[in-house]
Amino acid sequence: MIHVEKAALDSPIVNKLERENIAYAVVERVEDVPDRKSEIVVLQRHENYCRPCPGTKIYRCCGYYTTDVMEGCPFDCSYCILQAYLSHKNIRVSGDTVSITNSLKEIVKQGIPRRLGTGELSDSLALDGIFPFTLLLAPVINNQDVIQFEFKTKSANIRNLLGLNPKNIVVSWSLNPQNIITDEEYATASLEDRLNAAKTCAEAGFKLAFHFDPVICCNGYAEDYSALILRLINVIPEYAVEYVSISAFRAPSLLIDRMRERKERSAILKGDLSLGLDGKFRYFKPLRRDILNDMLRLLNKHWTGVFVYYCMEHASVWEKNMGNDPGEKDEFEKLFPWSKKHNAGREDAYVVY
Amino acid sequence: MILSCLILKRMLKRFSALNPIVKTLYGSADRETLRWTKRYLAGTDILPVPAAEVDGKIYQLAVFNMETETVILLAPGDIGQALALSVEIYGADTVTFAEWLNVYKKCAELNIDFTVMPLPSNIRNNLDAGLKLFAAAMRWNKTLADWLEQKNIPWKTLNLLAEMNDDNIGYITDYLAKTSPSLQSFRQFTESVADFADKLSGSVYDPAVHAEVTNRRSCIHREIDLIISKINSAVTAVNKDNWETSALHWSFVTKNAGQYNSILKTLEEVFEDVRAIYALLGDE
Ligand code: SF4
Repeated sequence: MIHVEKAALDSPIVNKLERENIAYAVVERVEDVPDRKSEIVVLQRHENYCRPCPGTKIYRCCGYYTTDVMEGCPFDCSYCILQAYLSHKNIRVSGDTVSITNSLKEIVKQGIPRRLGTGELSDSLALDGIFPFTLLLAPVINNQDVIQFEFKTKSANIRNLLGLNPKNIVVSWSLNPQNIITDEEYATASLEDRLNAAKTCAEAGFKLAFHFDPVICCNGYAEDYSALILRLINVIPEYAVEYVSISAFRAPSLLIDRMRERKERSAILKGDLSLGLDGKFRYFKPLRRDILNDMLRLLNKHWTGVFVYYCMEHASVWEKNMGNDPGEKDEFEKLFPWSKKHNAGREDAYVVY
Repeated sequence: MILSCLILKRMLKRFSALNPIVKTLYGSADRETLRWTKRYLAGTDILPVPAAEVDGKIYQLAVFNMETETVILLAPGDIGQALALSVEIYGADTVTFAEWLNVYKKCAELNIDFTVMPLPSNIRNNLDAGLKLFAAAMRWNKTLADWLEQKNIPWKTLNLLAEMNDDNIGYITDYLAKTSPSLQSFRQFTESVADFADKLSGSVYDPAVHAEVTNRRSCIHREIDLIISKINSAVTAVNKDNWETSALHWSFVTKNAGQYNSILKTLEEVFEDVRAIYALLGDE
């Protein structure tokens, strides 16, 4: 059920609902909407929508910026951080499109090459058929030279994208073996559907990214992730791939509690998890280092030119597996192809190892 | 005395809408019908005890083990409101799970809608889960119920118990009977039963079997544990950050030069073990 806060009635997002005869109910305030995943509410907020991803120093953060146009997700992954991070279960969509685009322009003004995306507090494309943020954001994104914008998804919902200029856009998919998708990523698209959607986007000229995140170590995982990588390499042409991330499961203790509260008990809870230096549970370091290394080697063997990185991983794991420490946010950011392209020729722009 | 006067004043003010009057009864109030707590209420040993008149009958609302003839008489509309008032007098946020369970039982006995009670936000905001928990707790056996009554169990642990089948509850009860655990151990044990419920069967707890079935550790982790246990005798080696770093903190005690010399020998003897640990950690 869609609800619209009175203050958001004039927003372009709601006008689109009107035009397409999509039913909604008007509510005085977001608090009047039942707190369930099945409820969507369009609200009017005026705030800064773009902010740095909340990384830590100990575990290397890539300097990504999030654009939070939506809070909450129609999918229901057992490990979803939103269960611990958000104070509500319903999906809150921002109708304040002016502030959203202004926020993007503020980032552009800084003149620093930045990667941003909408996939942190929701899935970027799951609801794009109803709330087409791709259509809204693409002209702003493509009009700027210093930002690269990522739409990150576990859906196969690419219809709106296909009509867009792919210039500064990266479309990315989170990937896991199909058995993990079935057991832990409820209501998301199957692996094959994700790969086919990615292939179609590549053919339409979009840059792609893939996130093996979270890597989950349960029965037979080493073989499953190898098979997954080989399947990916088989379907997707290397030239289309901008970057790949590999990241083992991690969770604050509140998320572990939330996962335990779920009706379907996640197999992740049986894993060899211990408290990391940032207060988050992670797989025992040698265990995750080995799987991250195996995956990296396999990717590098087939895709020799693709930039692969670890998200929120300890510097020592980087050093062991990659032979370098990417450094803190700004340094790390410079390793991405986008930054390299923009910094080319600037002597001060590279980190030298 | 000052405290009791203060409490009396506050209570009269707080419940002014319920026409409080101090009254001497002929005979005593009913202390059983609403008895949901064993707790004493500060100040009420001197004060008139709060009571409620419903349909001509007088129910004591606090300090249920004390008989009294002088009461502050309040006039709630019905027995449900009287029970809610009793909870409120104690302070809803001070009520333990075991007490809430008593309130829940009273509601069932007296046909009162439990949701009219002044529930704290953690129950109110997850009412379905809360009701499920109390319904499940009504079926728990006496050993478990008695243990829960003595301890202040976190709600998250209680919610896990509420989801368990009879076998798992029996298993936890057997564990309680065999080990008398601390609250922390009980919490961790309950979590392990919840996480490995599909691998545990029956209601007989066997520590060795439990340790094996619920062992979360990977092979490499177990190998390191084994080497560490081999090293740790005269000297101890501890990693303080769950192996996120490779730092081993070594400690030993000596009381004379001979002991020092023998520690040196031990340290030399364990060199291969240390090398094996660092090889497993990838820090040769
Ligand atoms: S797709 Fe992402 S945001 Fe949505 S439920 Fe899964 S993890 Fe959470």
